[in-house]
Amino acid sequence: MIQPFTTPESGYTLIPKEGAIETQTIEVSMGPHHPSTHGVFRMDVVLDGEEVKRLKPVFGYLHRNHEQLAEKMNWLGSIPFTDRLDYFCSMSNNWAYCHAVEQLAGIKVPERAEYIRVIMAELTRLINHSCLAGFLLSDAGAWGTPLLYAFREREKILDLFESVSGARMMCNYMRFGGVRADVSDDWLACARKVVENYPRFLDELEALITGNEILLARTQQVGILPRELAINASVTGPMLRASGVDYDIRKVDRYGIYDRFDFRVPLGEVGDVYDRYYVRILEMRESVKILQQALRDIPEGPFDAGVKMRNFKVPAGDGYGRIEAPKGELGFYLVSDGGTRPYRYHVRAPSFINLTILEDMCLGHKVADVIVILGSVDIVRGEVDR
Amino acid sequence: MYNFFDQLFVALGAWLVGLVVAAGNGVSKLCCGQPMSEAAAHNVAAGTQVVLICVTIYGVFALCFGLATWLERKMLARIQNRYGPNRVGPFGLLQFVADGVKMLTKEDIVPARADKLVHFLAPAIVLAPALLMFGFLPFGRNMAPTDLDTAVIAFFAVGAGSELALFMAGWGSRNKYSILGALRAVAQMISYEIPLVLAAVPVVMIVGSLSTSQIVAAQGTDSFLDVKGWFVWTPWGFAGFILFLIAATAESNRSPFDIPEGESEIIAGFHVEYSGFKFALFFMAEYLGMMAMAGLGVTLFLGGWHGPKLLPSWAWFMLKGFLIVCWLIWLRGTLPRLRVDQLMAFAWKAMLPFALFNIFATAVWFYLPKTTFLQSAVAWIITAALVVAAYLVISRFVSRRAGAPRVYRYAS
Amino acid sequence: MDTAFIILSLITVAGAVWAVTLRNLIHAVLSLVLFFFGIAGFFFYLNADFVGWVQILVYVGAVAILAIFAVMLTHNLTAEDEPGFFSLRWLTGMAIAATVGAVLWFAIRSNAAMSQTAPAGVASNVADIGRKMMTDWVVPFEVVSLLLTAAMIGAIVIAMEQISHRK
Repeated sequence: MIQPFTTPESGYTLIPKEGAIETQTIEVSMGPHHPSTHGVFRMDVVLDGEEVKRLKPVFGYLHRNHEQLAEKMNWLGSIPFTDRLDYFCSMSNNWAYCHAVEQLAGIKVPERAEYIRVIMAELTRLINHSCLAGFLLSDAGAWGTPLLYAFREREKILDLFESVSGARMMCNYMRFGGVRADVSDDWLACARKVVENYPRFLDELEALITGNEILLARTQQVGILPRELAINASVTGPMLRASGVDYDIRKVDRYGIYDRFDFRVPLGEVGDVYDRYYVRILEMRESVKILQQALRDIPEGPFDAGVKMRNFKVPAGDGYGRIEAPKGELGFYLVSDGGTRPYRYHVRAPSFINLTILEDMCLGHKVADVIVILGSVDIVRGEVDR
Repeated sequence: MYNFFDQLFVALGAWLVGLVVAAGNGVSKLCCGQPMSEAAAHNVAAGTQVVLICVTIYGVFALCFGLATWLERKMLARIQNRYGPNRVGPFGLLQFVADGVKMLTKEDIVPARADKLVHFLAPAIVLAPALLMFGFLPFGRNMAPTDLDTAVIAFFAVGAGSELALFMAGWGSRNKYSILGALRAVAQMISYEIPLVLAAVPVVMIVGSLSTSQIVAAQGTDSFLDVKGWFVWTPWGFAGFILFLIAATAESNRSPFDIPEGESEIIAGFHVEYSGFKFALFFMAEYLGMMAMAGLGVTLFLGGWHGPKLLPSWAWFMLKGFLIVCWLIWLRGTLPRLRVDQLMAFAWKAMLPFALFNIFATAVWFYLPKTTFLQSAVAWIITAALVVAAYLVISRFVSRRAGAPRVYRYAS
Repeated sequence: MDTAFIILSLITVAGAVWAVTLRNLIHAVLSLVLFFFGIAGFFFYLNADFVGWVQILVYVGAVAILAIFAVMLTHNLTAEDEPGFFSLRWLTGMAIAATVGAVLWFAIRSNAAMSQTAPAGVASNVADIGRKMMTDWVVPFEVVSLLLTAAMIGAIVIAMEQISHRK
């Protein structure tokens, strides 16, 4: 006679029924060494046959003490560390932090720097979403083919990043009041060429993937996230928009100069994995539109507000600055005591918050679906664990 | 001249057997002063023949296995927009040698709680059927290793033996992932064995024999271009060939049916706890199984060793098998993986009814008169219509559940 | 009694004995598989090729897998405590085995048809088997198919009940 198995949090109890065949559950630990958990991440999954009965994510394997380190360094010194938060999208992380500090310190960013920031952020969004499509399919078993096509496009954009900031991934490019170095006209021409060719890559990717029956069967009606649950769990980013909630911080806050660009926000209906994937594809097309407009309209002018960095002090107070990073709402909560270092520095990491809803999405699905759902949440360990 | 190349290996084999018998005679003259008796000479010749066939099959197909791994890595790499191995040897051709050396010299780790006997025997038991399956295929004119009356059933029976070994591997490792992988593997292989056998049944019906040599002989014409008689040009043969290919992909655990070793989910599934040479044996068994299935597909549907008389018959067999293997590799690089219940649903709800209907269509073809060209054309059209109608009905029934691309709205 | 017969018997009997005496149930099932291979060997020895291959295909490929699933998915994997050597259980078992063995022995010895040797040189003709099954033995053939269908439907019904209960 097996004992009833109760989990107070999800309220599940497994009791053998009269006359039915007694079954037992099996507990599997997926990870931390796993090709598809996007880094070191463990999930304690309780399975009934192939069905997930309970899922407990265990993270913290990549905790590097980022927030504590920032309290020991001056304001400028933590910018390279923000690169390593979401190591795929370093430009966005830089911008979020600089945006938060600029709000606190009241620094005004010149026009050209704003345009450059928008260009970099949207290029980062292109990288992130295309690699997500690749990784999702790689998790679904397509042996890396779409991933390597996405990486080919990513290489072109990383070349652009390298030529302007010196590093491909850890760019360390934004500063308080602007950017670190100016972009030349040659660079702008190269960027225009990359952006022009990008829709062709998107069409190729869509032809390969979007209509694929196997992908449709694997991702539709899988991992549905209802609207209310998404809002209650403070999910943000493409995941929220795929559940049908119209909330894009670029439209809501209108930070930077986003109100000058003409772009739309795609929304999903059902909130399953396929919606999350396809909303990202549509967002890529919108990003291409923004990039075309930004590259066309970028004015001449200073790229920096000329803030003196020696002994840079931020007036006392606290503030929260957020941007629409490719993964969601990336926010920095900073408390300053008027000194050269933050008194408290907290990162609101979108992957971390989005990951907390994983169990509710996975209940009742099979083991294979868990991997696909995790892939659609689009997490990066650096952000989740900081 | 053509005959010389065609029967090259047969002649070589006969010469070697003659050598051995002569050597035996010489030895017996030395010992006993007289040559061997008729029966003894016959036994020695038969024994040498068997040993020669075994050694040839092992040698040739082990080499083919090495080349298949090279081909797979190169083809997958090119599909994925990168080079494959290109350092070891010209075009990376010796990569499989390097891999073999690596596997041989790796430490053999056996989990402490593993069931030692079962864990040890599983790789051997999975390799034996894979090698045995090659014994039933005719490689060329007069080049069948055995001439069994029941070769097709024997092939499938031997293939069933390897399922057991997969289970032993998963169980012996005492690892939840392995057990999951082993259960999935066995369930998948049993489910797909039925469409596999049923896809071969129309061929057996038309030929009237289970012997692979006779099946190949039935697909030959005496012309120079020996292409017209292949069964794949008939409607039921084409449908059967497609079914056979899909079921063979599933039987060999290849993508998109590679759930048992679903790398991105349960890592390596049933062979996750095997390292070094035991893993190499599993790997070899998988590729050899794939090649044997390709060989059977060639034998049943693609006319075996028949082909235009520009190349020797064994070259045609190898070429056709190679094409099927390329197709399997292409499939692997392109499609994502099915989930396990979708896989089972596909086997039982889509492939099984289609295979059964294909048998019916074959019977219709058999009984329709085909003496004149017009009658043959009419028979072809009727059978093709039956097969296509069945396909449409079944696919409509199956895809009612599957999704469709959606239309998205934008925020206003 | 030539060498082939002796080797085959040894394999078969060893498989059977291990299947009932081994403590680890999975090992016992694998010994049963060895026994099946031995029986298939006997069929080949009697020139019944088709039956031998079908024996492997069905018994090893399906029945053994079923037994393994059954053993694996249930709990107890080691046998209970072995009874003592002269306990009541052991004596009862030996008595029943001896009775059955004696009955079989007398039946086989006294039946003239059984003690004939197989006619030499007759190869199994698959076409003949098929023809006989469709003409002389068609009624048992259909009855067996009905039985199999009933068993399949019963299994599906039980599994469906399971799934609907769990959901």
